[in-house]
Amino acid sequence: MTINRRELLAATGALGGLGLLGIRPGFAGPVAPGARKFLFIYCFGGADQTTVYVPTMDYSSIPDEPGASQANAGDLIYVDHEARPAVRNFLETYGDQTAFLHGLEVRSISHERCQQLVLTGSADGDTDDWPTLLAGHAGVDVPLPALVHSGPAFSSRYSDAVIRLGETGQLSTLIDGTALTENSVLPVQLQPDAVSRLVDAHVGRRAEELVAGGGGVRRYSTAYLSALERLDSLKELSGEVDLSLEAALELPDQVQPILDCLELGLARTGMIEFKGVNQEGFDTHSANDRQSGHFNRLFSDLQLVVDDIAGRPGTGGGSLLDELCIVVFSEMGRHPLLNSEMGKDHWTFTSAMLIGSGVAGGRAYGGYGENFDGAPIVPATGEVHDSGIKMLANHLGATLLAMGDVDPGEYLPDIEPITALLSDDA
Amino acid sequence: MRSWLLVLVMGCAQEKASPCEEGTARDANDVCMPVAGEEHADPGPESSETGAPADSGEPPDSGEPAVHEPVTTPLRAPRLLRRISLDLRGVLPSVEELDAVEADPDALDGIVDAYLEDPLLEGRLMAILGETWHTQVDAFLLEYLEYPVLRMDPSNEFPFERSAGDEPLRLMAHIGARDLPWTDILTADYTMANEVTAAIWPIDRDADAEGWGVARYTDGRPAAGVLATNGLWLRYYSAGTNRNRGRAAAISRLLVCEDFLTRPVSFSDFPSLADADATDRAIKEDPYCMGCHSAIDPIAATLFGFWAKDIHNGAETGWYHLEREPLGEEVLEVDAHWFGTPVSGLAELGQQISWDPRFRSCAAETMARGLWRREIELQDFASVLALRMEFEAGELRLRPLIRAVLNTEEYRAGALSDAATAADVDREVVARPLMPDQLHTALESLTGFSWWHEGFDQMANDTYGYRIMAGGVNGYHVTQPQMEPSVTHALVVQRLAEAAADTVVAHDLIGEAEEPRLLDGVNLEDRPEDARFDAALESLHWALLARRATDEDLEALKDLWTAVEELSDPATAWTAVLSALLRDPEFVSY
Repeated sequence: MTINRRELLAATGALGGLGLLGIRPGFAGPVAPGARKFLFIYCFGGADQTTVYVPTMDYSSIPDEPGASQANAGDLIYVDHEARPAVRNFLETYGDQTAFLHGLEVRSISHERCQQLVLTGSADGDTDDWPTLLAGHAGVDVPLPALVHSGPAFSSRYSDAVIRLGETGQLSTLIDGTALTENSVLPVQLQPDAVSRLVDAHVGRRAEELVAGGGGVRRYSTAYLSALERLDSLKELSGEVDLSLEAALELPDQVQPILDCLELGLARTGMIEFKGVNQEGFDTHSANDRQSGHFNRLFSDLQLVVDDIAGRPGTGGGSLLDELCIVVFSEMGRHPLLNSEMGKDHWTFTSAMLIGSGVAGGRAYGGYGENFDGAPIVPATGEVHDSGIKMLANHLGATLLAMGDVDPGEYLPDIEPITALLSDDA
Repeated sequence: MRSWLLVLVMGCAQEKASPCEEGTARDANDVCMPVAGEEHADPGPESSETGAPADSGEPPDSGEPAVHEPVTTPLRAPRLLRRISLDLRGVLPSVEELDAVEADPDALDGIVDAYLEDPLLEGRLMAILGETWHTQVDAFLLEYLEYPVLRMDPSNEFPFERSAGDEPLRLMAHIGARDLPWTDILTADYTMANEVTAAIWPIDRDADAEGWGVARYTDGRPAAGVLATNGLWLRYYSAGTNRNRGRAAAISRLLVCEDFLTRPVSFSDFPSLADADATDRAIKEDPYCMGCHSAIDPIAATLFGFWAKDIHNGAETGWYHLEREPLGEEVLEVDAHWFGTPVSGLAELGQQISWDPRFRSCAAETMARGLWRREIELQDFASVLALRMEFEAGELRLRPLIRAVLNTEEYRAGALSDAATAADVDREVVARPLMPDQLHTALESLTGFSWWHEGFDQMANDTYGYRIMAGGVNGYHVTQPQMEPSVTHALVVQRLAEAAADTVVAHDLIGEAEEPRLLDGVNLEDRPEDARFDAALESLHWALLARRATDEDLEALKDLWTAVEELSDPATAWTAVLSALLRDPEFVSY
């Protein structure tokens, strides 16, 4: 008998139940346990959720955006506007695989603090973020567990799983050596590969000696040895996948190395930052109408990205979209009312968008109250109800961990995943 | 969060402090105790025979001092000297210095005194402070293109970014390295400037000067040290309805370690959206909001000389606006004060901060964090308090504080002792990775290799370089250094080692330099069976790792040399050996 995640989590109360049971749930569907991959797209600066995700026509105190109207793609309700055709196009194509999660509270109004909170649920410095936690459980056969093109990355316990590509392809140049032969004023002659391997072996043996010998350098040497071993894998892969990047590219191009690695099963998570038109970011304290252009660009790029993903083969036989969940989020929301400069200020409630594998799409989950605060949500149904819980970033994290077959209770005790958001074949 | 609690506790403790009576001094428990040799009729109401406060609530003990079991064992003198040299100067100690402390560990103190007067200290102080101040970012809201004198040359991009971000750090490092009172960072009437900043900002600087030097703004800004630097406020910008509150929060975090932004903020019980004035009223009336705003807004009110109408404009952000100073109290509808003490302007704000006991605690905490290479926790309270007392005893100069930190168990830890608990294992840092700036300076001084590309210091930026990939901080997304070596750290180290080895072999052996940098007393004709060869390896091992090579160490290096020489040539074999040493865990950690 196979049971889905949602049923199992409901049965165990989702409070460390998976760990207590000592079993991994079996799941119907194309994604093997632990195989689901994740792409995180971070909208920098505080995206205004009322631009697309949350119609405000029913709020008497919130003026409507001129020209905006409420529309739906199936049961997924959104804000439509002729200035944002890309939104409509995307949702008409992928709306049934898309979910909005509303009313997530990130309890700060500082960009840097909110980045940490939305990704880790904690203000403590030594925590792993959701992509890193998922990557940390990727298994030893995934050599590049968490790839970061740009944006924040918080790691502690699984810091060896995080690999930064560099926004201008620095990782690629380090691997192939052009970092020295082309990107150095002083001329450098690289070691021949055969020599390099001998040096690598010597350094590895030294690290092993120090690990075996104990002493003060042991812990450092253990981590260093692990890094060296992963580096060996990385070098071997350099012929299989192109990690090079050029500057001044748009999202669909910037994300290619990550998608290549996800497709090949070389990575489990990817993180990339999106800053919208002219790389301005979403922090519109003045001229909030700029959000429109940013969102139109976002959805235009998303169309290309998701089309790309859908066209790639998955490791389980279907397409990559069958095994990849895309998480589009921002570190905070924006105040529902305009300020004196026609902008919008920081707001601690935000919305996220999830697309693809593992997502019960075609609808929204949660909502906003009359004062545009996060409304209580019932995790098992996703509906707003007074009996529900106030959703924090931790709940998003727990949901993603559950979607990725990581026991949420191990990292987020007493935090319920939004099980309604998990698809039947998740 | 922990840091906030620590300073709150220490700040509260300090608020009760009062001068000790003559002949008494504060002990580690902050109690006025008779100084040895002094006779007093009344030792004071808080003292007791046991030395503990009379009202401490602690039971009287047997008189025996509590036994403190160290959870770490200290580094041996040569490795400790290596650590200190890298932390204070960013370069390795000389072989002579290593020899001296190996022969006599007590020689360490004299060498450390010399390090504290070394000009290289300034650069390292900038790096240590930079990890907290976060001004060395790759992009501000303005680019170099904003400035006519810079925009025509793309090679000005990195110099602009780093010069602007370095300004506040360089001012503080200048004061710290010259043993001036640390309070000068808040009261100095000068700044530090170079050719770039002097070209774009209203700065009076010696036209013949090269590089960084003392300079003065000419736009009438008040004497407020780092609080009056453009570089600080470019990083911590403020616009629109923020009204300098973000800057006020930064001042509090950086100078008194009171981080308002760690406090949770929730708008769940916010007044109705229909109430247009709700936000403004809540800031002044709602206790939840007032918890922060009652302190932040009065600080923000002092900063309106730096209020820019256009935060993307070079002139608006580069010049001080005296005429806008009064706007603060008017716009924010508060009287300017520093945590309850009225101030009239930025200069007085700096003064008040310098008198705040938390400023001293925060200085101690900042240096401890930077040198212990970990966050400060509540259990560090006593240690940090002791450091603060040393700082005060040293008349608030940084050198005595640094010296005190270097003498702590935490700093000198080389391994965990049997007394270490699991929590100690997680907390104590007994081996830390070289940071990008240290990799740069150490390898450059050893070998002459320095990694620059199109005007960018590749170990100091992330636009084209490898700073965060090598474990560093970029001031925005990555605000804490990485203490565990990552894959990209290992890869950056590999390439650096390769380049450094190639450079020094080309200089010392192929070029047969008269003054070799590392490979002295050996040439390309020498072979592993030659005495000179062994001597060179031993010397290298000692110089780079601060540990005498064992026979096994030497055999392994000779085997490597031989294996590579068989594949290519002696020069390549030496680059292999050198790069292996420069990638050794005992080199890249310290």
